Amino acid sequence: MNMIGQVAGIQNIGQTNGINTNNSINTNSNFIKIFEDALKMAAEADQVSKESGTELLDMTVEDLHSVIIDAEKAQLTLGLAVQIRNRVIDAYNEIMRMQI
Amino acid sequence: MGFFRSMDISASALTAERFRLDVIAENIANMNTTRTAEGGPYRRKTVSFEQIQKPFSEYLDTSFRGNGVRVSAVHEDPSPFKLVYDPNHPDANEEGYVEMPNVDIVTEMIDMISASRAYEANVTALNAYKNIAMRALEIGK
Repeated sequence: MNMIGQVAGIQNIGQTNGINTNNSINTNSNFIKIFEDALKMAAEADQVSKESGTELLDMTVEDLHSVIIDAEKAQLTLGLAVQIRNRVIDAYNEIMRMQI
Repeated sequence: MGFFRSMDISASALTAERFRLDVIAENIANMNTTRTAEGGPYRRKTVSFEQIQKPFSEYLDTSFRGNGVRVSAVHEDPSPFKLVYDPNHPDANEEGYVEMPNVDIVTEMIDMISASRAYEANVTALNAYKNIAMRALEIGK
């Protein structure tokens, strides 16, 4: 549920970027933070998945399904990270296209 | 992680059903075992499940949160052993009867089907969750 709270942070872009230029640096770091968090989660899930994969090869794994489920989790979290990246880049492009 | 909870619940059920299948396999494997470490023939084993209680830290939280299932205990079936007349068997008593395990292959087969179907059902639930999550990622595309 953490992620969704952070995604909601995207909504702030409209408010902070509109008129108040003082916040531009802050907003920029927000962009990066959202993306970094998503990527960190994906990396963690991937790491868990990798570890259970190694356990599978070692034949020390207790359940086959836990390996598959870890892989599924990693895949889903990566999907989420990619979607967040897409949203962030879309928002960035939108701002860059703004007429001056 | 909260949004993987349903996956974790299904995973706990998969583990429990797999354990049940282990016990059934053990019963079938020892269908003809007349000697065990406890003495006497093999006794059929059954599994009981229990709902996983929420951790102490969540006790004041009244909202529903499933935690899944786990194996609570492995029981021994107290039903009597089958007596088979076989005077040549090394474990036969004076009258020539051998005590055979109280494992009934038909019951075990039914349990096995039940366990594997339950496993399948939980895999289906897991896949349904995965599909929901994938659909959620497609929002706004």
